[in-house]
Amino acid sequence: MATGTQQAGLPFQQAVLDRLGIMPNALLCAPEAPEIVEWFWDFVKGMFIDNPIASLFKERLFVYLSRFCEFRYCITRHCGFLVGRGHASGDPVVQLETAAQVIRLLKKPSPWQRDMNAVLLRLEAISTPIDWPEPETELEDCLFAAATAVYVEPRLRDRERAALRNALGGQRFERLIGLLTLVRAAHHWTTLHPDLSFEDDVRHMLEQHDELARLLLEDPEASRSEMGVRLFNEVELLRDLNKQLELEKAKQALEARYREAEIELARVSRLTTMGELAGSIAHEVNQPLTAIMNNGSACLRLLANSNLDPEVLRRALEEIVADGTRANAVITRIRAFIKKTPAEKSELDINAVIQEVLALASHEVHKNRAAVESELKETLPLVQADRVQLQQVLLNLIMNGIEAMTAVTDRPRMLWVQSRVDDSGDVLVSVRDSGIGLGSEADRVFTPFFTTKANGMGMGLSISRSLIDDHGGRLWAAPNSPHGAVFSFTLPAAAGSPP
Amino acid sequence: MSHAPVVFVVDDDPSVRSSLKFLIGSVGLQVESFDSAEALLQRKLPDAPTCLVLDVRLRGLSGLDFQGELAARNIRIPIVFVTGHGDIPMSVRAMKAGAIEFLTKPYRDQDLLDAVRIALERDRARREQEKDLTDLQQRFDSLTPREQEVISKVVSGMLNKQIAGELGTAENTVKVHRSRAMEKMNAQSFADLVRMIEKLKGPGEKVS
Repeated sequence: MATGTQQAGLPFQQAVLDRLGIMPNALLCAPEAPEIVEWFWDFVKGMFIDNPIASLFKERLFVYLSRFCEFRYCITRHCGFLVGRGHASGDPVVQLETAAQVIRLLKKPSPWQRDMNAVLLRLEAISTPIDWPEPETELEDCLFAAATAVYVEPRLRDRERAALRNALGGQRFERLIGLLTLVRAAHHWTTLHPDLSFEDDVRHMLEQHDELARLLLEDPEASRSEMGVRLFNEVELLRDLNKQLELEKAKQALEARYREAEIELARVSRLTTMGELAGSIAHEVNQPLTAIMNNGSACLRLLANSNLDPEVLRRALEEIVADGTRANAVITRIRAFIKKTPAEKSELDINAVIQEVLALASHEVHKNRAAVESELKETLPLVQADRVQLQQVLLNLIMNGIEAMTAVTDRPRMLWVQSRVDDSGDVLVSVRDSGIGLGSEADRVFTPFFTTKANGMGMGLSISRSLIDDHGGRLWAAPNSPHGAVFSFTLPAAAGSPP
Repeated sequence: MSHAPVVFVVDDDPSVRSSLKFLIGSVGLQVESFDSAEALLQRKLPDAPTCLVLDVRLRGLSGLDFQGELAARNIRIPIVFVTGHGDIPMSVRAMKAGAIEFLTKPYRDQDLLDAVRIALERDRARREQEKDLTDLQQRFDSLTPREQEVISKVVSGMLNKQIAGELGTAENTVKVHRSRAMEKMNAQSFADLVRMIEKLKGPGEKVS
């Protein structure tokens, strides 16, 4: 046994030499932290060397699993053990393998190239747990295939796991899982030390056996246990699953989640567009507007007294122009923001949208001790509209109605939502409340930045109106009798939709 | 005493600040502008009617906090609030704390100028009232202790005779004290004197 790197500077390194017969470079690769290497060695000892699995089964499985590691250190090192350089599985009396045996091992078809169903049926048929099989037997082959599948795609291989447990019994099965864990850790350890070089004995082996060297160094399966590849495989497999009975269930679940996400989106975008954004924009637009009006008014006053110095006028006009430019820049930004999400119109049942929004608002309704009555006309024509935008408009009207009733204590807080077809054949939706009403402000509520609410931004209704305008409809407000307000909008029926 | 009134403008937006100064200046008022509440606090207030046009949203100390700060320092300058976005609780809070007006930008120029005029007028009246009171107090302080004692009893409704009895002196002496006190207080009539003493007693209870 020829090895060039025989050192035993630390006590545990002597133990390594005793057990393995050689000093693998993998246990010399972190000289700055010998305690970590020692701990790693303890791990190797516990999970591999002292793990009571038959020595050859263990070592052959280590080699076979190392096919699926991109970094070639482990596979060559353990091949070295198998053909007699060092002690395979730390067992000094294990029967050695020939190069031809190892080549056969490496040439076994991987689980992705064979009929796994047959393998699993074989293992599932075992009625009394078996002991570790001899090398190159049919049972070893089946166990290797199942163990490899579990090793590479743990989350997709429940059946393989159950078959292994059935064939080996619980105790051996858990020992096997311990071994798989160690192999994964060893691969990771070596991959994270890419400077690791082959030991001299292994180099020698590679030089002597061309075919073995080729198999060891160029295995096409090498990248299979890489994370990206594994995830890709899992996704591929899930796609297959979809074709089967799972399809319908998965689709339904996805649809439900999609709907939830959509409603959440409507809520969030309402809050964003009409809340925070509008608040700061109101301020930003009002500043230059105020400056323009101040300057203009001052000029008019001075002019009226024939007291306006042309130089003063020039300066004021310059400021007016500068502030006009500034206001325009803000408005351009708003427009760009609103246009960022183009409307996606499809044929919708407005009643379904109303129901969704009512469900969404039910918490607020309840919280404000209000009640909702909806009167939705069945068999309405469909409308061509963007679902999220309609949700925004409806949510806005309903929330406004609820907020208009918070001060009401002498009568029920009622919200009525109604849908029907109006005289011109358009779909008409109205939201009535028994709140404080609009008073003399009915005309102004659609003006940007106008608000009657304690913490309103004055943007909701103006945005709502522009959204309904974009859909070819109208949105307007009127007093409700005897209390409150009624907001109504129309949407044209989609072409070809039955009235 | 009175110098020309001064309007202070505090707004952190330079174009709003300079245009406000221009607008208020266009009706002949003297204006000084500041970009923060802190900057204004550095300025010693003049001996003249003043008022403050204050933006609610300021970097650093906010307008509403500044209002509280002024009150804490016993600086009673009338405030006209302007804001880019005023909500109802905010304006209620400001008005309750004594603001003259709460205007939402953009406001009508006349509304702002009216508010400024009202604020200056209120400050002028307050200063005058304070000055009257100071004068009155000075006059009262110039009375002798006995004269003060006599007129306190006079305005409480006692007759000269009763006062004389209580003080152990002649009725004529009381009459002399009384007429000297009337003279020193510059009171035109007995009713006038009563009003003066009531004023002095006012919130401060300065009459001993």
